[in-house]
Amino acid sequence: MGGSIELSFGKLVRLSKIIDPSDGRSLVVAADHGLMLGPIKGVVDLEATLRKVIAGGPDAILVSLGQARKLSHLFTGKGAPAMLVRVDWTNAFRDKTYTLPARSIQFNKVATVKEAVKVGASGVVTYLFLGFEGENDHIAMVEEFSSECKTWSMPLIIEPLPMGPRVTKANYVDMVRKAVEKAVELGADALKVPYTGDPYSFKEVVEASSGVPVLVLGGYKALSIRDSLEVISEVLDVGAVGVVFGRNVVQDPNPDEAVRLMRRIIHGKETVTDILRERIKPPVRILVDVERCSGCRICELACSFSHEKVFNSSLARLRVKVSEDGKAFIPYVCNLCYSCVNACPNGALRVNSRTGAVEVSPELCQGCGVCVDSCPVKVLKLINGRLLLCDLCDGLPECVKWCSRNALRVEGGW
Amino acid sequence: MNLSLSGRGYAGAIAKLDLSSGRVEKAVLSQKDALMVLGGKGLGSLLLYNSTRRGVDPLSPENPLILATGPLTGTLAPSSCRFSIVTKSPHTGLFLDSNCGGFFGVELKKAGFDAVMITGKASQLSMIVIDDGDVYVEDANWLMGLKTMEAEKKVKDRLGEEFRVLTIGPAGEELVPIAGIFTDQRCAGRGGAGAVMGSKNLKSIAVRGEKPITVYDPDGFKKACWRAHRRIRMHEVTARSLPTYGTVNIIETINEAGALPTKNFKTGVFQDTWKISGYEWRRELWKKDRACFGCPIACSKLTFTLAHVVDGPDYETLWALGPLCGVSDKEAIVYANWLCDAYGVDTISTGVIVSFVMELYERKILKSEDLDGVNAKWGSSEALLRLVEKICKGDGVGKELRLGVKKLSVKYGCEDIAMHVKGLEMPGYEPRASKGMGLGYATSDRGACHLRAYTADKELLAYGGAVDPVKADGKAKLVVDYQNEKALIDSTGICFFASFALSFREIGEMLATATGLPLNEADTLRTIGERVYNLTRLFNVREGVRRRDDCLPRRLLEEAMPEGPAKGSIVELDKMLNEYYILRGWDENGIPKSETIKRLNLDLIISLED
Amino acid sequence: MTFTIRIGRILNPTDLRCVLVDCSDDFAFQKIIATDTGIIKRLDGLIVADAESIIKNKHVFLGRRSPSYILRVNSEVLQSSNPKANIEELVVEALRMDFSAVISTLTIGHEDERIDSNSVKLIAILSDVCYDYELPFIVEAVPFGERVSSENYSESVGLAARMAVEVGASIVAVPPLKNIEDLKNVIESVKTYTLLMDPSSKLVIEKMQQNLSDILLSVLDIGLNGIVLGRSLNIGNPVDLLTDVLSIVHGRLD
Repeated sequence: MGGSIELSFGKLVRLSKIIDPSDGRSLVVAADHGLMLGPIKGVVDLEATLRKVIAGGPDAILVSLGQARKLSHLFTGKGAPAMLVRVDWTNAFRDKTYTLPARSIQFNKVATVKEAVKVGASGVVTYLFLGFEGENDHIAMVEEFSSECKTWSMPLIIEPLPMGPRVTKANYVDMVRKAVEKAVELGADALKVPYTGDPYSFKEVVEASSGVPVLVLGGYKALSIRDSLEVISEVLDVGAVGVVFGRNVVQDPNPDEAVRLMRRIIHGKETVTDILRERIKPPVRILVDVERCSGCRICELACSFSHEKVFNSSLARLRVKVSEDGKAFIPYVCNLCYSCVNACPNGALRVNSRTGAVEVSPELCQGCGVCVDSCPVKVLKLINGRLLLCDLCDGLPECVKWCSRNALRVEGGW
Repeated sequence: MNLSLSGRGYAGAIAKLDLSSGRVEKAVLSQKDALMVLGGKGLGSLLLYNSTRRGVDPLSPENPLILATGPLTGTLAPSSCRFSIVTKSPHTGLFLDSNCGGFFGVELKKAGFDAVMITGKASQLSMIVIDDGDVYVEDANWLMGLKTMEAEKKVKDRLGEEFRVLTIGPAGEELVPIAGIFTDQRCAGRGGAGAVMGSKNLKSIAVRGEKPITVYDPDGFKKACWRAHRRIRMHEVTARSLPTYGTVNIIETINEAGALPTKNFKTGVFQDTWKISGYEWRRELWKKDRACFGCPIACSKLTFTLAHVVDGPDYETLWALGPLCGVSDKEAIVYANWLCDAYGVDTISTGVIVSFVMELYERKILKSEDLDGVNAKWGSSEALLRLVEKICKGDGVGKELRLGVKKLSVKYGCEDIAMHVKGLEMPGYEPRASKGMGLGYATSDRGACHLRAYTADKELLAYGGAVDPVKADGKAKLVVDYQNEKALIDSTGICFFASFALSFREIGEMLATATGLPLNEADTLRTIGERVYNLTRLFNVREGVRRRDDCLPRRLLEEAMPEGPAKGSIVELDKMLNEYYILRGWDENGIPKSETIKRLNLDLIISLED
Repeated sequence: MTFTIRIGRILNPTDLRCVLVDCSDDFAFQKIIATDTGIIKRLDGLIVADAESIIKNKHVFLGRRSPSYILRVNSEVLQSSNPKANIEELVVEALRMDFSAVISTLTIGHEDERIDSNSVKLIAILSDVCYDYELPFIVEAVPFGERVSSENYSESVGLAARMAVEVGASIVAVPPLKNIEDLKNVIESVKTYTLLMDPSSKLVIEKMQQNLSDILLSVLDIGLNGIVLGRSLNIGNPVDLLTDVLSIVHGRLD
C-alpha cells in the first residue's frame, strides 16, 4: 500500500479499510454532493440510496459529517463499507447547471479531523484547487488539515483540481499534474483525481503522485454506464488503484447493479468486453428508436471506418435517411430478415450461428446483385464486384457503440 | 520538400476559381502550411491575406470568397462538420470569418478539396457545381430571387439528393451588408458574406463527392476519436444541457447574472425570461433534436409551425429578436427567425437594428411616419415582425435599416447607443455585467463577436471555476487565452461545442493521428491559435485598424448598469485594453510588434508591407 | 445508545452478538496468533493490553473484514499527578491506532473500601473521556475481595453491573451465575449490551467443554449478547473451542 515507510499504524490500518489489502484496489462511492450541490437527483433520500449502493458492495462511501452521524448504522458490521468524511466545502462546482451559480470561488472548513475520528471514519477528504486567486489560502487550509490528520493518524485524501481563470484547454493536463504534486507535498495519503481523457497523459499524472495511491473521480453522470466502466478499466491499466464515483452510481436507476459492475472491473479484473459479451446474447438484433435519431450519421462513419479504414458513407452497411418533410431521421439497419440469403442463386450467403449475422463466401459470390435488390431496407451494396453487408461486428455492433443518443441499441447492451 | 497531405485527413488540394475568366486552378496544400495554420480559419486567413491588397473593395471581383475545411472535417472526430467562410466584410470593411456547420464542408472535402477560393464576378447570376473533383459554373437565373430554402431544394431536385448546397437569399443578391450564406438550415450569418457572394453574381454553390477521407494512423485515430466522443458523453454541457435545450439552456443564468441585454442594452435584466426558457421551448414548440454531420451533441432544435420547419431558434437569434427588443412572444420570434433565414440575413444584426429603432422611437427621434406606420414600441410583436420583414425585403424604410446600426446612428446622431464594434452589431452578453466579454467584443477580429473570446464560460456560467464577472482585473489574460484557443479550434474542423468537453491533449491526439504531423503537444496547438489570431489582426491593421477602433459604444463606457448584480457597473475598457496589448505583444496602438511576428514565424508565411 | 461504527465493529449488527477473546496476557495472545489465522479473522474482537501486540501482528488487522481490537486499561493509570490527562492521552492514542473500544474492570468487595472507591473513580474518568471521544467503553463488573461470598455473589454482580451502567458503560460484561434467574435480573437492571465473562472458577474449568456450551446456550436464550473468552482457551484445542463458540453465538451467520 503506497510507498510510504513513514505511514503511521493508524493511517495504515484505516487505509486498509478503504483500499483492499488483498488486491490493492478500491471502489469508493461519493455521496457528499448535498453539501456542494444541494439535493441533486439520487441523494434526496440519502439513506435509501445508500442502502442500494451498499448492496452492491463498495469498499468505502464518502459522506459529510452531518450525514455520517445520522447514518453511521449503515456502516456497521463485517463487510460494511468504510466511511469517509468530507471536511471542507466549496461553491466552485455550482456552475450554471445548479441553483445560485457561483460568482467567485469560495471555500471553508466544515468539520474537524477529530470529529471524523469520533464518528469512526477511515479517512477524510478535502479539495485542493489550483488556478485561481485564492490558491494560497486554499493551500494553507489543506496544510492545517494535513497536520491534524497526522496528529490523529487519520488518512488524508486530497482531491487536487485545476479550477479557475488560469486553467485553459492548453494547460489542463499540466495543471492536473501540478495539483497532484502539490497534494503529495502537502501530505496526501491518497488522491482523488480527474481523468485527463487518455491513458498516456494520465500515466504522467500517476507518476507525479510518487507512489501515493490514485483514485479517479467520476464527475458528471455519463450517458451510458459503459463509458464509466471503460474509464475505470483504462485508469487501472496505467496505475490508478481505483475510483471515487458519485453521480455515476447514485444517479443510476440501479445503484447496486452499477456498483456490482464496477466491482467486476476493479476487483474482478474483468474487461468491459467480457461483461458486454455476457450480456449481449445472439442473435444480435439492432433495435432502432427513430424518435431519438438526430441524423448525425456517426453510425455510418463508424461502420465505414471500422470495416474499410476510411470515411465514406457509401461504404457503410447501414444508412440514415431524412424524411420527405424534413421532420424525421430514419436509420435503416440490417434486421436479420435473411431475404438476401434466400434470394441468392449461388448459395454464397449463409447465417453465422454465433452472431446471427449474414456472411458471404467471396468464392461463390458472382456479383449478380440479386441480394441487393431483395433487401427490404436496402443496406446491401455491391462495390466493384465486392459485396458489402452487415456482419454485426462480431456481436458488438460499432454503430450501436458510437450512437450517443441510444437511437440504435442492442438487447443487453447500454 | 513539401510532402503531400492527402491521406492525412486532408484532401490535399485547394481549388481556385475565377468567375470572370471561368478558369479553375488546383493548388496543393503543403505540410508547411498545415503546420503553421492547420486549416479552416487559419488556412482561410492565410489565403485571404496573401491574395488581397490593402483597401480592396469587399464587393469587388478582387475580394476572394474562401471556403476552408479543417483536417478533422468529415472524420469520426466529434462534431467534425465545420468549415470557415473567409473574406473581407462589406459590412465592416475588415476581416471576416464565419464558421458554419451542417454538411457542406464534409462534402467539399469528399469532392477532393480542403478549400475553395472564388474570385472574380460571373457575367450573370450563376451557380458553381463541384462534382467529385470537377468544378464548373452554370447559369442560375432560374434561382433568382428565391428564398434560401427554396433555392436549395430546387438545386437538389435538379442535381440530386446527394448534393449539398450553399446559397444566398434575395438579400444577398441585393448586396445587403448583413446578408449571410445558408446551407441545410445552418448559416454563416455574420458580416455580410452573403453580399460578397451576391457581388460575384453567385447564387449557389453545390457540391458532391465520392472520395473517401483517409487518415495517417487509422487505429490510433479511431481510439483518439472514441475517447473524445466519450468525454462528450460524460460532460454535463455536451451530454445534457446542449442536447436538451440547445444553446438556449443558458438564458436564465445569463439573466440572473444581469447580463441579458434588454431593450438595446439599456439594462441586463429581462422580466419575462421565464417565458422563453429552454424548458418552455421544449415543452411547447421544439419537436426534434437535429445534429450536424458527425455530431453527438445535436444542439439544433426543430420547430414545426403550420407552414415551415424552422431550425431554431438558438440563443443568439432568440435573444436578438426577443429580450433585446423586449419581446417574449415565442411564435413571433419563430416567424421572425424564419424570415431572416428565408431572405438570408443575419438574425443578430437584424435584432440589434430593430432594437435600435425601438429606442429611437422611444426617444421620439423616429416616429411611426418615419417607419411606414410602424409603432415601434418595446415588446411589440407586431412591430418586430413588420420591421424584420422590411429589413429582409428592403421595403420602404427597410432599405435604409438593413444597412446596419452604424450607418443609421450617423444619420440620426445617436452613436452612443448604436450597439456595434467596428460596424458589426453586438451579440447577447452585456459587457457591463461580464467585463471579459466586453474586452472580447472590443478586440474581436471581425467586430463585436461573442465567440472569439467566450469568457462567459467562466464569468457567467461558472464552468471550470467561477470568475467574478464584474471585476476587470485579470480579464485581459482570460480574453487572450480564449481567443487563441478558439482560433485553433476554428482551424481544426470540429465544432466549438465539442471542444467544451476536450482539452488540447485530446484534440492534439486526434490531429496527430489523423495527419501524422507533430500536432499532439498542447503548446504547439496554442501557438497555432495565437499565430492565426495575430494573422487576422495584421489583416485588420493593414486596413487601418488601430486602438481607437478597439472600442465599445459610449453607453457601455459611461452609462451605469441600472439594475441587477452588475448594478452601477461600467466597462473599464482602457485599463483592460492596456493590459491586453501588453499580453499580446502588440504596441500601444494595437499593432503586433515585430518580435511577436517573428516569434510566431508569421514573417515566413505573409509579406508585411509596413 | 446509537449504533455507531465502533459498536458495530464489536457487535455484529445482524444478530447483535459477539465473540471476543481476551489476549491481555501476551503469552495467550501469541498462542492464539500461532493458531490458524483463519479463525482469528472470524472473531469479533481481541482485547490487548497495549498497542505493541497489534502493531507486531498488523497483517491480522488490515482490511475491512478483520477483527476489531480493544484496549484494556487498568488502575495503574490512576497513579499519576494528573490521572484525567493521563487517561485522555491513552484514549487519544487508542483512537489514533483505530481501537474500537476500551475495556476496564470495576471491582468491588474489598475490605479496604478505598480500593473499591479507586475502582469506581477509574471507571468514571474513563467513561467521561470515552464519551467525549465517542469511544465505546466496556466494563467488566467483577465483585472481588474479602467481603464477597457465594451467598452474596449474585447480588454483588448485580450491584457492580448496575454501577457500571450508571457511570456510563456502553457494554457490560458479567461473570457466569449459577442461577439463570439471577442473571436475568441483572440484564433487566442493566438494559444495555451485556456479555458473559469467561468462567474463572477452577471448578467450572474442570468440567469445561460441556458446561461452557450449555452455559452459553442458556444465557444467549435469555438475551445476553455474547462472550469474552480468556482462560478457557488454555485448555484443549483453542481452535476447536473458538469454532464451537462462534457457531453457537452467531449460528449460521459466518
